[in-house]
Amino acid sequence: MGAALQAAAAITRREWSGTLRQPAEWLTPLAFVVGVALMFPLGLGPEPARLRELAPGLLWIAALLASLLSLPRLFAADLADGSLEQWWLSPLPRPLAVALKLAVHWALSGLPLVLLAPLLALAFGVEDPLPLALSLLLGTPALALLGGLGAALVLHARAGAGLLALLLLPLQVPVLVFGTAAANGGANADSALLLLGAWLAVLLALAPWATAAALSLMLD
Amino acid sequence: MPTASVLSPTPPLLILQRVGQSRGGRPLFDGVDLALHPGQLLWVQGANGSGKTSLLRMICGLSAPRAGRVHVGQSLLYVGHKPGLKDQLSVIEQLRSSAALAGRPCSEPEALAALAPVGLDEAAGLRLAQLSEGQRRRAALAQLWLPQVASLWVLDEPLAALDSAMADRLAQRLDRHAEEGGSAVFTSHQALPLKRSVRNLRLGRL
Repeated sequence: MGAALQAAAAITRREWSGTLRQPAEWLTPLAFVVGVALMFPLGLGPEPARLRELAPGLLWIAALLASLLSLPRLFAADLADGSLEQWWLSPLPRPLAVALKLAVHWALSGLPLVLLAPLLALAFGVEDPLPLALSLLLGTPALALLGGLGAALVLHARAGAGLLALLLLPLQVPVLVFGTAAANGGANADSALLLLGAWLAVLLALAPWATAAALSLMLD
Repeated sequence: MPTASVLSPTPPLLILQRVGQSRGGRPLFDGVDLALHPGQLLWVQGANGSGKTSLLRMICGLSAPRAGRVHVGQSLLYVGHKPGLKDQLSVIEQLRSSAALAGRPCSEPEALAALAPVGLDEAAGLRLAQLSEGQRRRAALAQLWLPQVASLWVLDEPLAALDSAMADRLAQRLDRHAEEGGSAVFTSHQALPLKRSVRNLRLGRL
């Protein structure tokens, strides 16, 4: 048990330090969402009421697309430099190693979006950005878990990035539907948030195992 | 059919029973029988594409054998062609991280002591991206000088990119590991200057 904990701490530390030292990895999704948000008034017109109404949904779509940006490289570097083999040889169960990798990935790419999106919503005149923040807090980990599975499945594909988007977009539909319903508030918001939480729980239970199995196939 | 078998009173650290492997439908090797006991070193030889790396990965459990059975008795350390070096980490961070990942964490003084024999103690703070290929190889091999190390070492082309002085130090380390009751399986196209006798396993046509 002690050895597994040491291995877990080692994976978390090296993923955290390695990603933080590559600012492009974690700044790109943030810059993308800010850039897309700046285009809302250009594409939709400057009417404040319209922007206020559409902002939560549009910010959700921007967050979803931003989550796709770094996915093609998520496991590619670990495969290329042999890190995946070292994880597999560690005393840590493989799904747990994958879960830790995805947790760090979410903490550095999804969590900043959870914090940034409500500020952007306020800038568009949304009076209560809390539903948006809560929906993203539950939705972005779900996107990271789905993204991890997709990234593992297309690891050896030549046109991996395009294939990954095609593979993931249908799987992300429930997250987007529940997420935007929760972010927009209203009568169904609580139910949508609960469903989003339930979907996240299902993914937490299954995705690391499926991703580890896919990565094992890619390594064999 | 490559075979090797030695009777010994101590339980083997590695047993291969009629192991076979293929790649892309093409058989690489078949019927490999082997028992590697504490204190024994095994040199796996073969031409490019004969399946040396495939055999080593199979021993580590990274791929399943097409036929036969692989049994590893105790802890194992694998230093492959791609040993998991992260360009963003410093040499000492990488070494301590690799040790902790294997469940055998080491202190900073222990890591520095392990970097000295590979000549990287003064480069401990440098990022791996700043090192030459030979230095990166040394950084990966530094794990062998840590105080808590696995019993069975699996080394894929450990001499690649190393100079002769480092090759001598590596051979001395392998000799000492075997004297202490450890074992090692390694591939190499050159002979290591070892003092102990080495068992040979030849795959394919040489």
